[in-house]
Amino acid sequence: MSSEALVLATSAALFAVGAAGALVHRHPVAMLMAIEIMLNAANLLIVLGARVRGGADAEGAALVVLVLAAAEAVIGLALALALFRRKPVPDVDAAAELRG
Amino acid sequence: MMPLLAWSWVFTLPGLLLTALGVPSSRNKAGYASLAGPPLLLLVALAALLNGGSYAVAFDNWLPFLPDGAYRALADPLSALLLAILGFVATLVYFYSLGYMATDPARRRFFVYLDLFVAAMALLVLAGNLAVLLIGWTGVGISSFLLISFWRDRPGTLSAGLQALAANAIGDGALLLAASIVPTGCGALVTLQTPRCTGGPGGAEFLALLLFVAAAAKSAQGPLYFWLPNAMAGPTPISALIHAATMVAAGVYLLVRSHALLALAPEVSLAIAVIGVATALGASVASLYQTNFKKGIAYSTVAQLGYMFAGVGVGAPFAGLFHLFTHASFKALLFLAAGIVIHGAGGRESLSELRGLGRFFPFSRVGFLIGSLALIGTPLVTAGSFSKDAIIDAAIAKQPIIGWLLLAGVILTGLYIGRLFSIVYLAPPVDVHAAHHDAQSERPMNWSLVPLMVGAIAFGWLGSWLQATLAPLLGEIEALPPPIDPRGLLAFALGAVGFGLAWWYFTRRAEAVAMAPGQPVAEGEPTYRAAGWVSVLADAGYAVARSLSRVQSGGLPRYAMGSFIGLALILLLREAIR
Amino acid sequence: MTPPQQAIVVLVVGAIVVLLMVGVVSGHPLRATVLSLPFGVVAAVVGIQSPHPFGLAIVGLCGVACVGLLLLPVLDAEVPAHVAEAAALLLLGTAGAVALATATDLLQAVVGLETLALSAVILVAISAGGRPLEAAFKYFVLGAISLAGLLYGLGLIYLGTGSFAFPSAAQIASSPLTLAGVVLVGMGFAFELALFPFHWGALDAYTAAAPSLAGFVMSASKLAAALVLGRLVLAAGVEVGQLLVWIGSLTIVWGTFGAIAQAADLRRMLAYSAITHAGFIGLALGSGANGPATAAFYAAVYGSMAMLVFAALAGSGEPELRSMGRLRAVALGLGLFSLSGIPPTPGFWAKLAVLVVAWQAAGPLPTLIAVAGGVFSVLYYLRPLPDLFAAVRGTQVTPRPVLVPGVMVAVLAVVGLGLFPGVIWALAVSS
Repeated sequence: MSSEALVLATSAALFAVGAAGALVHRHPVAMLMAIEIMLNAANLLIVLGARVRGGADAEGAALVVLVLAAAEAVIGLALALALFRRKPVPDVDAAAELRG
Repeated sequence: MMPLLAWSWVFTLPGLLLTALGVPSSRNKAGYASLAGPPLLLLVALAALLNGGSYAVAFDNWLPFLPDGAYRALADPLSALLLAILGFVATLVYFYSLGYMATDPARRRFFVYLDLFVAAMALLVLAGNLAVLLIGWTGVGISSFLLISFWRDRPGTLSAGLQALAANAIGDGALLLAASIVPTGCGALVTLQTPRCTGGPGGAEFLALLLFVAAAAKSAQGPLYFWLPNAMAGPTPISALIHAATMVAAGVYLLVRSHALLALAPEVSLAIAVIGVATALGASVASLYQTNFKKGIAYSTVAQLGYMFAGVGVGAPFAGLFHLFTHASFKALLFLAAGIVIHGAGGRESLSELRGLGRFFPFSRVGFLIGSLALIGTPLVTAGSFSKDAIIDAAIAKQPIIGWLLLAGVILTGLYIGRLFSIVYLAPPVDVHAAHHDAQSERPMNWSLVPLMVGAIAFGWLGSWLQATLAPLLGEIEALPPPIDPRGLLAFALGAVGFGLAWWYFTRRAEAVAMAPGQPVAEGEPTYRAAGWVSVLADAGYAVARSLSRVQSGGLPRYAMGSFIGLALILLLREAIR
Repeated sequence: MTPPQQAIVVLVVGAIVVLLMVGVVSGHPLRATVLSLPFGVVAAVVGIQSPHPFGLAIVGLCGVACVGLLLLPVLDAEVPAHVAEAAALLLLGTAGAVALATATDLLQAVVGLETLALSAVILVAISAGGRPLEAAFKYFVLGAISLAGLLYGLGLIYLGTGSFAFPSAAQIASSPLTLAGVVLVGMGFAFELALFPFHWGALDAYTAAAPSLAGFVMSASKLAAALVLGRLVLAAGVEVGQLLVWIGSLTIVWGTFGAIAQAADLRRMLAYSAITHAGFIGLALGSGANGPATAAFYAAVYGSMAMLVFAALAGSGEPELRSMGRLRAVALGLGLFSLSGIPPTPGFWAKLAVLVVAWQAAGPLPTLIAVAGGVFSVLYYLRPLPDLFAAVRGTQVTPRPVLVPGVMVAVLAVVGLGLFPGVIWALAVSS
């Protein structure tokens, strides 16, 4: 298949892997990693779009997405650390005080 | 005077503000600032009624997103009559409450709620279009809720209030729908029947049906009756004002106001009449089984409202309105008289505990007797006969079956009111020392009964004058029956027979409280649990709500999964439906 | 620079200034308020010159932020040692919300969305206690997942159409990639609006955050998301609108039942009710050409009511109904009346507006669901009122004068909107 289709398929596969990971993992850091994979899959798609459609705005968007992903990672890790610091096992199911 | 009347819904607001802020500050005088509002309303309404004319207020473009977004108020003889009734009963109830709530620490809050109610009810009556009507309609519902659940230390009052709120919500929903679906420019109550406004989806029938549902919820008709007996959880003065004379009459008022629309929807009108007579008969029977004094009277209110609905439904709006007018006096009289005995017995309301205590309260006894005679329709000397005969006559003329059923129902009326009167006022007292007299709080209570007694006797004679005044508004009105006529006498005879039977039965049998021998006699605190089907529905609703909220289980991966699955399901369903 | 951009700049500068002055401000909430409030007001003044409905959005968002800032002085109980950060985040979050609401293309929307969402997450997280932290984490993770989806959709749209502008109906019809992209992007915005089935994290966040901050989080997200979804729907056409009608109706049902189950927990009930209101907004968005304007109107009105309720609840972790003073009790009562749609409060007018437009465009079933959701809301909103009013006369905590400005502003806003809803309506309708 053409290279564009291949990249599209890769991006979709990466997104699926990330989504599956976010749903399956119980360790907070693992969830965050899965989310990062999803974000990068999206970024891959945007880069593909820049190549296919040839727009400079898409290239700029890819850089913006990198920054957003970085910001997300910072906040996510800080929250995970603060929340699971006092728990014996980092398991997101254990943090279930809010329910109902 | 009409222009002043069009703004009369503000009359109790200064009192509300002053009382809420704590003026006057002494505990004994709590609420005095509110006492000026209702008499002022009464005076202005009477003056307007005598002067006649009409006045419309319109501020266009107040709510630009509605089909009819203007603020419309309409002061005409019909609204003046309702406001006069409101002012009359409210003034007496306010003074009565000074005595009834004399020792209650929350009297200030009570008067604030009362002021809120009077303002909302006045706005309801003066409303010229659906948007403004909704303000008043919901307002009286809210004040009713707050007043029913007034005593938070008694069990079951909040539940009773929520039942009233639930029934009210159904009615509000119907009115909301009506306000949303009318074509652009429509919404003014006097124009609902024009071809342009009935051109919306469903036509005149659907619109009339919505108004009927709203009125039935407010007036406790048909399956929506369940909240009114439990509304007796509130203090007796408001049972008299709100749940007998005024708020529950708002449903009848709405139907009378939109009589031209109902004339275009004959099937809905027939349904109104059928529901009315069914409710009248059913509630009359139910009253016989009540072991609580106030609930017994409350079922009587439901039944009498059924008579009014039947009157409107058969195409005699004036008859229904006339009965609303006379009923306000004698039902308020019955409740306030009952309240004197209840107050004297320390707040007890069950018939077995109140047995015979009424004889120690002479004002109350005379008042309840006059009210009872008016209820069964004693010709000439009470007002009830004039209006009830008008309904029965009109019904027999237009829908004979309904008419004769209403006539026959008068025997039940006599039975249930005779039962209440006999048990409380005629039977030998259960305990002579159970009645406490407190002269200071009894004085305002006793004397507030007097104008109501006069009304219950004399208001019937105003029938022809009212008819002449309201004729232009209500279109073709049938002639009122003469004060003494054969059918009226027959009705009275039936009522007297019922009354006499009850008198005989309940004064002979010392322990008899319930109608049928072997009925369990409930003692102690009154309960306000919802009637059968209502509590089934409520329980089911709460069960669904609880299981739904358990879906929010606390597990993060589960939430994410829920989002994916939910979205997938929605998209799939959309594809499937397309 | 266009007025919206100017407003954003003012807000961002304000946030930076507050953060730079953290040494001076920390521990002195009043100084934080005094320092940050002018930026909020200036931004509102600058932004009001924008064309409708952007002007409404900016004024609404800045108004919400200003009330939040006015409530900062009580924050020392709720947000120990982080007052400066809270003030900065309020300003920054508003900047993001304004960017989201006034976005002319999807990329700007994404940047604004992220700024708003992350500011909201941190605002929830810095509230006192363990529960807010848990709520913030869940809100964050679910938000990150939805952001990832949104960005993927962004990529698909770019592949399909070649630009980041809001795709038109023709573009959607011509390429399945664009359609998939629009759905994913819509999903991301729907998460911000807290529609079912994306509401789980928002529910916890709204429940656990400190009251003064919770109001901001709820109101700003709804107003901004309502506007951007409105633009998406107007561009994308009927199909997307239909989907929103469905989702909106489902959300109303879910939120109403959820709220009914919360007899004991006032904060949780308010959170479920916020979901219900989001459902109304969603329903309005899908209701034809007049829908988005109605949704903007509803969201603006909702912002005022929510801020009123949370201003009254501010200052206490667990809402102590029995010890509220007269002002707070009346304010809370007024706010609850307005939320449940009792006329003549603004909440009622907004609900009626949604019903009108839903009946015309969405059909009878969604309208009936909306009517039922609206009228039965009294059962859960008004339930605490008899106890609340009965206790007003009773023992009062020492009055907290610092609360008064915030509460009064909110009360005046609600009362004013109730009496003159036409003003906001005129601003909501696009010029």
